[in-house]
Amino acid sequence: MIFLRSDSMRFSTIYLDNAATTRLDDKVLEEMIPYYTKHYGNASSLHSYGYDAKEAMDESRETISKILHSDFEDIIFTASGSEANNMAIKGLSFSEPNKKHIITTKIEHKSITNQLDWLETRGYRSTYLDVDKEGFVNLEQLEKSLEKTKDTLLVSIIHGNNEVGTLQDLEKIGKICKKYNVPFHIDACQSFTKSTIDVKKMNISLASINAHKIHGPKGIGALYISKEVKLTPLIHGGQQEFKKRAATENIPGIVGFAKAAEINNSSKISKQVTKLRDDLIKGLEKIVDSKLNGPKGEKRLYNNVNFSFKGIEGEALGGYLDQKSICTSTGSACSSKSLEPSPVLRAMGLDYEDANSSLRMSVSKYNTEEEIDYTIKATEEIVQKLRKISPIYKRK
Amino acid sequence: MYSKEVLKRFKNPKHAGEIKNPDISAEVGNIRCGDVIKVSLKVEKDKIKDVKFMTYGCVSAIAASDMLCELAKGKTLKEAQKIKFKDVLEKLEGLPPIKYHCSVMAVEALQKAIKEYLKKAKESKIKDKPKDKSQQNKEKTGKTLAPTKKATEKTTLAKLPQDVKTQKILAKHGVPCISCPHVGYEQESLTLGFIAKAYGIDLKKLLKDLNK
Ligand SMILES: Cc1ncc(COP(=O)(O)O)c(C=O)c1O
Repeated sequence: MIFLRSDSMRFSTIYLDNAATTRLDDKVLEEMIPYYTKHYGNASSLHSYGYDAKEAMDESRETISKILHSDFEDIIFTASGSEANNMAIKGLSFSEPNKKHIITTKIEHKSITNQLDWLETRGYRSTYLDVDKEGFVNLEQLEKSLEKTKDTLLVSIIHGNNEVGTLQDLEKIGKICKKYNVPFHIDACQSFTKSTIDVKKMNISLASINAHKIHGPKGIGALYISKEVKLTPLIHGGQQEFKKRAATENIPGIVGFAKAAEINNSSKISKQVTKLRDDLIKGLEKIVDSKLNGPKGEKRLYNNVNFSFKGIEGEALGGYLDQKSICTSTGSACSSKSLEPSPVLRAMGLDYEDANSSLRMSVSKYNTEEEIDYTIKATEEIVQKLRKISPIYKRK
Repeated sequence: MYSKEVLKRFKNPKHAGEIKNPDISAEVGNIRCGDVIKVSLKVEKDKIKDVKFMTYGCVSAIAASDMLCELAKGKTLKEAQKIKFKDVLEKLEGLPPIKYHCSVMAVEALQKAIKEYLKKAKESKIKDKPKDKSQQNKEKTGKTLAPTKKATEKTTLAKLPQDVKTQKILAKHGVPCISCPHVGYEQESLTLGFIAKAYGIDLKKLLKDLNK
């Protein structure tokens, strides 16, 4: 988000913005290249080049469907996570025109909230469920809302939150949705391969995923669509993707997505990144008047760290970190277009000061312990420097 | 995104910190919009001998505060009173429009400090003579303006009726910190057209609501 360059630094850039996007894995790129230069056929063509493409696509679909515990034909490739989210909600709304109520949460990604804002201008009503101070959705409120309304189109919930890393209890939510027979959509763009998703066991009807958060290519995503829900396509045209989404398939993207998912679906990587995350949390907790936002342990995305530092503003902190070649992201008002701090942090009960003082650092398998140590030191230094010129930081 | 000058100022602000025993200091802004700026002055023979800032705020707020101090240092109080947020913007080689309020606030802090300094100076001169009541009243009501006038793109914030209804309309359209009571001085130079452009607000709709 900030583009400040530094002149002389010990390390090359330390990238801690893996919740925004990730570095492409070399092995993924290797797998993709032949589908640009050799097997570049159209998967619908009836010749050898076409068959090669189709075969690669089928294998990739198989890989992804296995990770989600879904059936092969229930995975539809899209051009992004945002498209998958739009397809889930709008697609369903086109097939069920009488259901005008949508239940979601106060901590969704913009590709959900901006959609709902638009749908509201077209006669829809949305219920935004509260979350507690760690970001967990209020399930009693969910039940009440389902009980009260008879025209709920779907329940749409972000699985792993992109700002604070909270992982929702899908099994519990799935049970509630089943009880009321309402489709259950999850936005799993941050959590796919990082946290277990079993669409059958968890009674999930729709799941949005994408590749660029897990060292795959940008511009490729997928939507899991259970056979129990009928979606109207958003993109009409050819017969691709079981007639659910027209367009010549992005074979290199699909192949890269599957490879990235296969690599990242590993307990070794999970352990490795979790350790980096927890070391970073431990180090930042030692800074005076700092506070971790979101939960700890297994209920937090293994790559997410989010802190508030009393008395200083998040964008300035991020700006000075960038001077030291450390890339981070903030939920402060200054970084938003609306001059309002992060609605996610506000929903979790943070006051304006703490929300504006927040900084997100998201790690990946490419980070090292050395980088984490350096980041902790740099953060502490900058926090102290900013507090010295802060008119609101009260020294104890 | 940011100009070279903004980054230079942000990276190495020259005037950050606190003056020991300042002659006056003033603070503006609120945490809600993410910026609080405090300016302190040392005045000698009506000249600003030293000026420093403390800022809780983003990259732009720190750069704008520092530039403001640069502009104010060495000037007479009278000269410094003429500094406008556009001067700060210009010297910074621009800010992203959504960050204009940072320069507005920096200037605001300085003007507030100067005003309070002059008031203090005057009060210490005529300590025993309390202000007569009619004058106080005048000060209080001085801001109410003819509410019948139609708002146009050239209308400044100062010319709008200072009532809750207007504040609500401004808030509804997303006119940011500028509509908050802290920003007094610049209200006279901030036109609705300028604000709409800076913050991507639909001017037509805003005017329609204001003129209802
Ligand atoms: C939770 C969440 N949902 C959706 C998206 C959108 O994904 P994409 O960038 O592929 O459109 C993102 C990433 O930006 C995300 O973090």
